[in-house]
Amino acid sequence: MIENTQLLRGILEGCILALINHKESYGYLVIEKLRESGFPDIQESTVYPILNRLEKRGLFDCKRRPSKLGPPRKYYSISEKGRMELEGFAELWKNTKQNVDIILEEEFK
Amino acid sequence: MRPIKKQSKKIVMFSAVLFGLLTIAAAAMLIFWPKSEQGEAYLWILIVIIILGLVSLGILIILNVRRGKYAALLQDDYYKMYERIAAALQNSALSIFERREVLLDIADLLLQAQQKNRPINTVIGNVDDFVKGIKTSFGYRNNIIFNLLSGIQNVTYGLIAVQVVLYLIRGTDSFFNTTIGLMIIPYVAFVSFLLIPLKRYLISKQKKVWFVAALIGIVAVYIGANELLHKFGMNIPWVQTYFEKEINFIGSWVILTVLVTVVALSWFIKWYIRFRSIKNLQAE
Repeated sequence: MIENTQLLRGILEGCILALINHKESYGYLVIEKLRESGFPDIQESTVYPILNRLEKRGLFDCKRRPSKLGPPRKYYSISEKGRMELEGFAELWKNTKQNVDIILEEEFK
Repeated sequence: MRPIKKQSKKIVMFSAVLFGLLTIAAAAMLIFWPKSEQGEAYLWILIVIIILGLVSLGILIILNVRRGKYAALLQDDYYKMYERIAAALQNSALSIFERREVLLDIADLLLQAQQKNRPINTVIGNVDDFVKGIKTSFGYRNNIIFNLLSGIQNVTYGLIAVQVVLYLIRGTDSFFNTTIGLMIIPYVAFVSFLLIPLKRYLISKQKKVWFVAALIGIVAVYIGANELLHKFGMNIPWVQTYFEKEINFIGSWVILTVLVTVVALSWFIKWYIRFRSIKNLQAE
């Protein structure tokens, strides 16, 4: 249920940017990394529109390379704009997490 | 050459049968129509129908084989999903290049998921939500405006095509002197603004039976209404004008230039809306 929320989409955008900042990657690999990193039920249908939107916003540089499996595969690497967006996300996440932790700690003390 | 998938084969077979019926009907018309009323025009109509039918069938087969290049590697469940997504994307403001790019990405994702033996429902959940997500990822584009612009383009193409065919059939001394029946114009407008968008919508929703039913129903209503008007309404002035008036639609180079400009302008507006939507995304 939470998968469709704006919150999760925003978090996923940040996580995808971080994964691609770490290493150039392609769609399926990004999805596998997300699954391994605590989003076990994440689907291609959730991630692909986010990847595409981030690409169209100019946060990635993309190249297609031949693939043995089928069509030429699109590889994403982070752009300068993407790096700045990631820094902004990390800062926002740190502050938000801190504030939410404070509220939750007081609530469940 | 890769084999055509079952579903595509059905489409090709269906088109071949339709084409066959059309050819038989045209041939029957040529044979049984009284020779005195027939003239050379009917022979031309028959030839045009057969050529158009053959060309359309050829294009359909080529498109299916080409699309099958990667999709043919997908197993049945995966292939059905791919086809559903491809059909749903038809009813969108995405350009042909954007659609092709998305479909390449999706084919790649599906092939990788298939290689890992994952059930298709763990790969793509709700197709409508997925396609909506893809459309949104290209920024906001008003589908109604795109349908309207495509309608304007199709009306223009349609009327030019009608005048070209009539010019060839009648052998008028000049293309610009060729007249077309007034009743052709509302018909072409109706097909362009209503029937084509309806077809896109119903196909995108995988309602093929509804599409065929709607098509037959609409054509039946159109022919029925025309027959009734012709039989009982010829004493009404506008009905008589509707059936009998011939107009010189593209009467000069100026009008032809205006029509070409309208088509070009529609293309430009579509391109500009797409361009702006991406620019707006980049500005976020």
